[in-house]
Amino acid sequence: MFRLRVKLGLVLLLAVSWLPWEVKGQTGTDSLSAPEIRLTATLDKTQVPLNRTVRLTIELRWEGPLDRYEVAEIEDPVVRNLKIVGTGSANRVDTQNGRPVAVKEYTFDLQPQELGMGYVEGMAVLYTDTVTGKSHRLVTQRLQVEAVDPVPEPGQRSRWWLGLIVLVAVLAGGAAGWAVLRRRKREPQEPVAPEISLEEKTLEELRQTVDVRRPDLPLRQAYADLSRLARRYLGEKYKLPGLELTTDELLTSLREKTLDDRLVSQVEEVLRTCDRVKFSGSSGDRAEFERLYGIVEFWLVRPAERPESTV
Amino acid sequence: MSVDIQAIHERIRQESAFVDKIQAEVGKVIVGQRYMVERLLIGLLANGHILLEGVPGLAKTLAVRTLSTTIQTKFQRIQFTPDLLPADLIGTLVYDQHDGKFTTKKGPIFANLILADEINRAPAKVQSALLEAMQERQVTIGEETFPLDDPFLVLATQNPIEQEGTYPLPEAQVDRFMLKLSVGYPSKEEELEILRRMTKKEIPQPEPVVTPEEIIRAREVVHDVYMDEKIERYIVDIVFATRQPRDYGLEDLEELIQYGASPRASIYLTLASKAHAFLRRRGYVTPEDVKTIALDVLRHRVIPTFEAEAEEMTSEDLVRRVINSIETP
Repeated sequence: MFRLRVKLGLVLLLAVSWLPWEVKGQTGTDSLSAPEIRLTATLDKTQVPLNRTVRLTIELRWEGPLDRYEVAEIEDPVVRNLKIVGTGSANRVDTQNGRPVAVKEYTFDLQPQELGMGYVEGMAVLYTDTVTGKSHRLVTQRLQVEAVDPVPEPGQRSRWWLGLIVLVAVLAGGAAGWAVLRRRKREPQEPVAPEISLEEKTLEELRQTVDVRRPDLPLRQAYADLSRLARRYLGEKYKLPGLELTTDELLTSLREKTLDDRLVSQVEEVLRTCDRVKFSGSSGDRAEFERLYGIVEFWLVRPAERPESTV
Repeated sequence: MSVDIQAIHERIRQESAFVDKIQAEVGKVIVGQRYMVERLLIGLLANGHILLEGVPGLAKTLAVRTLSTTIQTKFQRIQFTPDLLPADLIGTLVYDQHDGKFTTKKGPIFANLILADEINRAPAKVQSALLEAMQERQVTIGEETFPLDDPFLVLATQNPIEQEGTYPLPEAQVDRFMLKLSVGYPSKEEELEILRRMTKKEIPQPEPVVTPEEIIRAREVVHDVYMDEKIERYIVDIVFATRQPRDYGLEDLEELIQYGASPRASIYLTLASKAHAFLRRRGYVTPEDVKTIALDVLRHRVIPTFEAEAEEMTSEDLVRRVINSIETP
């Protein structure tokens, strides 16, 4: 009886000695003949560069034949800040103290996503004792790995000299800029030409092209010039091919831009009257031309008072 | 320089009265297709033959037949088939056993309005016989030459989707047509009206409202419609831009146009623009008239290159580019 207690004590001591390292199979009410099953989960590194992978190995090990336990399909582990990039599994039979030991091994290659800590959450492994028909469950511990800066790829040269060149270029550019600024400060400032508006430019051209005060003004040509200037101005103002469009097309495009009706009717009056004189062989009427000229001049001289686009 | 536009306006007012009547009569039968009907009238007024292209069922034949009914004139429809012979079209000499002489039997081409239906189904020799008659406006049978009636207008149709068993018209022969119309589908509302009108027990019939003499008089007025030199130059610019696009800032079209439009295009574009102005009751031509009709005059006269075809650009796309790039006068 005493010897039996000593043996049991030794067995217990041996079993407890495994505890910090491995999770042991819960045999529950199994007979003592059921071999002990052990589950181990390990990461092969504690730190992993961003451009490398770390390997998670999950190992189930028991004494006896391989088919003693039937292990359910292991699902992918839940990982944080890691990504599964490869999986594998293997079965093998080792010997330990002259006795067969069955080993089932699952591997997962994990790649870190960002700098910082990555975690592998605990995994449940289900297995069934094929002799007793009973199922059991083991859970691995939570594992962690630190993701660190990526390492240079093999064959990739150090680019320190490139940084040096950039630094030198920046310094040289800065020095040149500083020299230019100093010179400009010393030189007297040239007056900047005032920007000419489209209206001012067109008005200038209109007055140069058509001199309404001339008593012998060639009227037909004047109608043609007025029409062309008006088309070009409207085209540039409202982003239309004013010179390529016919009067109908131009009016349709202006109406599509939801311009003020008064402006569109003025445009229509100017262009249609000019068209009539240009294409009908008519010699035109001075008073009528001066009125049309006045309409176009009004658009250009007093743009603020002109009916504007509602676009 | 001053042109008596008022006098031209007055003549147009007098001689164009029949246009509204024709449009009203055609409108009894044809729903929509305003574009096609207007172009048919332009062909009639400008004395130019018309090629209509469109998928079956777009009322091409019906429109031509209806137009012919509104004119008190002789109309012939010729269905072109692969076994048609030139003699079936222009006529032949028949031996008279009583007299022992050959007598001339005139073909269906001796009419004022000819509908050449599915012209690309007949072989080249028949097409040539028709196109020669169109150009010369006369027909020779045996040793005798007969002038064709005036007005003489050929309206030919062809179907663009069937290529099997067809004889496409050569470019040189297509050039004889003043206009090539691309007939499109009606709108939803128009189609609704078509099905209502055409499924009635009694389909409306058009009435003759114009005589050939009235059309000939109208043609004379069309010739007198004033065209300013600026418009003439505009037409020449458009036609030249199809031949030498680089000169008009269209360098990218240089590689895409194999052959530009012929001088016949300039002539027809001028006549068609005048006819368009006549239909608008205007005694002078504006760039609107030219631009409106230019696509129909040029689409069959500008031949795209293989590069253009590879880029899925049709002659119509090329002509549009040209028309929209030339500065209007």
